[in-house]
Amino acid sequence: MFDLEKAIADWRKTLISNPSLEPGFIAEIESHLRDRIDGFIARGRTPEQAFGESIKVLGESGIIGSEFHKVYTSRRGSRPSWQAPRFVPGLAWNYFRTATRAIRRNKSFSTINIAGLGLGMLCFLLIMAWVRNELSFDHFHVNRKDLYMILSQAPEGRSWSTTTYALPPVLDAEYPEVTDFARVWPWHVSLVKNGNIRFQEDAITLTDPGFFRMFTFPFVRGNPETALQERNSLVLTEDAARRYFGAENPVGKTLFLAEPGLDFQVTAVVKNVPQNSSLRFDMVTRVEWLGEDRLARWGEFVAYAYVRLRPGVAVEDFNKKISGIFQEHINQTYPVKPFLQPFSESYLYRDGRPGNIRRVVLFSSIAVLILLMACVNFLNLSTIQSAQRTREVGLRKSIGAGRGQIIRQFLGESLSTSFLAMALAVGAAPLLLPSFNRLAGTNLVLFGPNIGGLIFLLVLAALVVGLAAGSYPAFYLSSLKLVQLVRHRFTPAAGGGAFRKILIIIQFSTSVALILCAIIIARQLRFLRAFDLGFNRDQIVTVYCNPQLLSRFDSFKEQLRGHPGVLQVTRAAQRPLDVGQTIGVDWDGNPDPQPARIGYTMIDVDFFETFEMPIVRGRSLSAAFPQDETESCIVNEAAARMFGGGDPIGRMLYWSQGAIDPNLRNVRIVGVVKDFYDRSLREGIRPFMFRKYVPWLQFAFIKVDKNRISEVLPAVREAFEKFSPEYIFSYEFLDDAFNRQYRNETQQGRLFNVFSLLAIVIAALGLFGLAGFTAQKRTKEISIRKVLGASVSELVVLLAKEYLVWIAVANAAAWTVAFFFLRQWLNQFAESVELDPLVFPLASLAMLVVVLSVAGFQTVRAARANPADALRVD
Amino acid sequence: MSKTLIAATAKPMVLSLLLKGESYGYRILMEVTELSGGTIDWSEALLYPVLHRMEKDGLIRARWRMTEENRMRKYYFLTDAGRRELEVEKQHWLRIHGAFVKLWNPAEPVEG
Repeated sequence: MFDLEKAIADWRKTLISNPSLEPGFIAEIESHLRDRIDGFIARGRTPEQAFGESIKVLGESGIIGSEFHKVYTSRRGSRPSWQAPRFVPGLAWNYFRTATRAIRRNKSFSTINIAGLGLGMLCFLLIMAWVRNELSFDHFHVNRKDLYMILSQAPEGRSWSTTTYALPPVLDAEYPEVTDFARVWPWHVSLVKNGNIRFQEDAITLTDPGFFRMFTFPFVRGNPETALQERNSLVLTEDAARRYFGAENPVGKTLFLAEPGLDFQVTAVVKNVPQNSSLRFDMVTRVEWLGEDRLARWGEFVAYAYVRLRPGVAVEDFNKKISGIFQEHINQTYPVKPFLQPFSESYLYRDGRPGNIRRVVLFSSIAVLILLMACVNFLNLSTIQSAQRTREVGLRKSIGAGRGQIIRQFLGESLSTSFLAMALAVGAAPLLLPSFNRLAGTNLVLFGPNIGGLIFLLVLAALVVGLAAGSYPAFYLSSLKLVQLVRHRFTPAAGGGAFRKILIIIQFSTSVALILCAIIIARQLRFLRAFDLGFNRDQIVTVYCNPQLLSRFDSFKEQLRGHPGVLQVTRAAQRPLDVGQTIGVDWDGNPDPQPARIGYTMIDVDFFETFEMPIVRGRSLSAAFPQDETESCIVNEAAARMFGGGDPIGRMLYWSQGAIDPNLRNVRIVGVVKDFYDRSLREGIRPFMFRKYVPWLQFAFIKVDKNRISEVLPAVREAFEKFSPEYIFSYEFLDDAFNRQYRNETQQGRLFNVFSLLAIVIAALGLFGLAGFTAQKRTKEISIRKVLGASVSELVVLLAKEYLVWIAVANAAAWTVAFFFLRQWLNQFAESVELDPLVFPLASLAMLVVVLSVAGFQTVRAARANPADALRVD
Repeated sequence: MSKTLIAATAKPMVLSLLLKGESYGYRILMEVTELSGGTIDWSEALLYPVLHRMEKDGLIRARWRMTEENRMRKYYFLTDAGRRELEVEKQHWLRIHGAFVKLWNPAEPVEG
């Protein structure tokens, strides 16, 4: 049954909740409503209908309320008196003071919190500076979108970065899509003289005139169009120009290059090559100095070459078009085809495969992970800290603070903190950059061009972290009722506990995985350095064999051999570590119609003796056999196997084509040397051949008695200067050159160590906070257990059990990720350490120690507290 | 009729209605509807704030009184200030009215 009085009473209640309606107003409106209802009833409505319609006519209480409010305020749209102002300037100081008080109360905790976030941001900033530098390689060329590198691809899919010298001019002449080309030989070495000023230059690039038209290295003097017009034109970098000409203008002056033994005219000066350029040079001249016959060759894949395509040409179509060009010019069954790779990708995807890009992805992920970990910690620790401020919130509310005010207070506070951390990171980064550069072996600048993106990311991170960290006190605490807030010992609800645990597990997995990687990478690097390559590279001094020395080498060798500290002297075309060339070799009984490709280098007598490479069959090369000059060769075991069964000694081989005299194409095997690694351990053992061919022998190797190094070096210098007085003496130990091959890995290893250490520190911080939080939440439980007779050690076990479960989960994840990553990483080496299963528990153990010492501290503290303190209040 | 016009007429209308003697919100509302033949439709959200505003400005005054149905009701009546205000308002409205009449009556052409 409809009760009119009750309905009116209910309606009245809705009006009371509106702060602008005073009781007197409500009474008036109620009397109005009753009049209306009476009116409707008089017109024949039931009381229920009358009430309903009257309510509808009267409209929402809010509208009446706001209209009433307008009557009693002088300004339109002003704030109603019952709402707190948006901002009370007088409170700003108070906010600042309470915030600093909260920080001071937990000095160490707050320091850890802010420093942790700052540390994470710092790591992010430094790693991203490195990543950006890697990504910026070769991007400064204006036409980079139209520039391509010519790569070669074998039928089995393997691709590499060189092509033949004959190809690029043909592409340029026969294909309208190609507008320019440049072949690049970056390793020309020569003594360079300007009067008495002499330097041994080892970064002379030989190239085509198109080089400076395509690659926009900024010119200081001269212009790109005419710089390489003449065969003896020479372009210098600013540093090289200063070496020979000081402050003078070098353009138009001449420099003498001992190789080829002519004067060159300086036509232009370019700015020093930026460090993010993959093309590097000190001087540039024409590629024709390599020899016209060499440039005409189709079968020798040693040239780096680049072309510029007309804008808008689809490179895939063009690749299809040129795919048969070697078959046209060499023979129908020739297996290799060329293809173009965008030049701007050639650094990150060397040889057409993901190379440096892997490091970039790896380290970006680490940067993001570290930043994420730091943010999560900041969030956790801030939440815990602000949970102690419930009474402050209660007090503020009780004296009239609105919810919005409290939200703004806490968000403002956490935003200021996170931006403070960011400022610390940005301030510290330039100070730490030199150390970082040393560590990473780089020369980075922090705030290069286009820094906007990075700053944006950091500000975004600070913003997100600040908002997230402040959201707990801001939104949760401010939503609580006054009584909940001021009640003693309010502990925040366990909400979000699972989420927080997952975050901690991720941190842990990351740390354990990083520790694992650091251990294995360090082991592999140690292994590589100690690995027996099949030749002994210790105590071998390498000297560049200039033309003067080359012609008088026998006397040079004789003088050195007379020194008691010199054990052996020999020479070769390359250092045994970085032999790049291959040659097509055919033999009677070759099952393949194509000649097999085989690595080769030219050597002199005493080579195998110097490097202690055992001859397993036949004999070594010797001056006693005149045929060693023309047709003898030594192959390795892998090559002997390739040539098939039977005694390899005496077998005839035929070079399919090659740089040397056509009369020297028939070779006979006179000895077999034990297998060895001719390149870095990333490549395996391959069939290999040695011949004696004096004109190409650029490097002299001197095996030195370990105990007499200090007396031998001056003797070598003396001999060098005696037999090549024009040249400048310099030497290198072969070990150093060897170690340089693993520079990338060494740097990667060092960065890994540092960042895994930081990750562990950050994870430990997070755990420290979380353990404290858990212990605090369970204070009463612990106290009651203690009162009932539990011992401290039992309580510690009880609390620690929780962490142990997390660690188990984290380890499972970390082991899986690390296992797959490391297996892939180790796979790139022909020889690698075993993925020792013991390392996995070892890494976890290390983490466990950290966890127990950090969590244990909090746990023991909680367990040892006096239960009376915790229980007194209830 | 536009909201602004209704709002502008509210004060003189209330003053004029109260000239006949004291009245209360609901009756004022009914009388306005009746007078205009239903074309002027005031809402409670318009009327009561206007009444309160005028009371605050001292144009009218109110007192609570027991009615025959044994209910309390708030009656409004004019003050002297209200009467004076009504005179001023009346002058304004008549002047406006006169202007419109001249404008719309073709027999009396507008000067100029």
